[in-house]
Amino acid sequence: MNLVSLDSMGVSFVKFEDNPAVCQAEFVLPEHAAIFRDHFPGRPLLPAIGLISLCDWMLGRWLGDAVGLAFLRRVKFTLPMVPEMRLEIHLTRRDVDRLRMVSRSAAGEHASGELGLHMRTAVVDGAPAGKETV
Amino acid sequence: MNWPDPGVLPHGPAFRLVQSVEAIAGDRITCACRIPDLFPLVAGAKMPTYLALEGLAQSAGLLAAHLACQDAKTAGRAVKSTPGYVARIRQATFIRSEMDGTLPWSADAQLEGRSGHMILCRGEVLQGTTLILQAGLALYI
Repeated sequence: MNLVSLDSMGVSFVKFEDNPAVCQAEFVLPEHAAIFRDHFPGRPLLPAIGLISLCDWMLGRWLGDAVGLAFLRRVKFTLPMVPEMRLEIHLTRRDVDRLRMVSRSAAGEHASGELGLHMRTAVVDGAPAGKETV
Repeated sequence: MNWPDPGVLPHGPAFRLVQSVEAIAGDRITCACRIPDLFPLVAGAKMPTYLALEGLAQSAGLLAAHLACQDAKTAGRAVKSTPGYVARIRQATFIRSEMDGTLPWSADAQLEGRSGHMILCRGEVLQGTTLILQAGLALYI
């Protein structure tokens, strides 16, 4: 699968740190970034799937491209993510196949929730994606 | 049939995944979706399944707009269009990790409840006859 690059999204990162338990990154989201394109014209907001895409990019860099998202649970968007902000995302291991995600900026916490992991290569047609864990 | 036009969604063309409404019955809607030109989150033919959540959310938004329009007409009030956004992904399970971003898919959303400005819905995405994902969402309208 071809994950979209940060360049394609018009996003850059200024910090990336990881260890076996935690991965955190800080992104710069310029107003002209493609990730805001047409969401929404005249009052751009980072789409929910834009945030998930950034988490997916982090997963690839942290755990390798073979690891993907199997499920999302209780992902709350509490504060809009707007252009020109520096957005921090923290991913913390909760279990072998579950992460806690928190996204925040200087304005406060924007989103949080649980991400489930699986091995992309383990997915068989028709079988639940989360069957094999990492 | 007086079905909502996807053009009422607040998204611009590069982010409007719903192409047409296929059916509305009661609290349920089925929409035809595909990745538009210039969509910023796809890099090739294969795309991560979670991107299809947006199509499901847009379908649910159209359903909410349709029901609000019906309510307004019944009450004799003026119809007011209000944009909405995803407030919560209550749960989403990706049956497949990726799907073909060049092909259309269908999003089926069902209203589960309303509380103030919050709309609760659940639904699923199919590409052809293959189930891609199931999810429960909350939209703020």
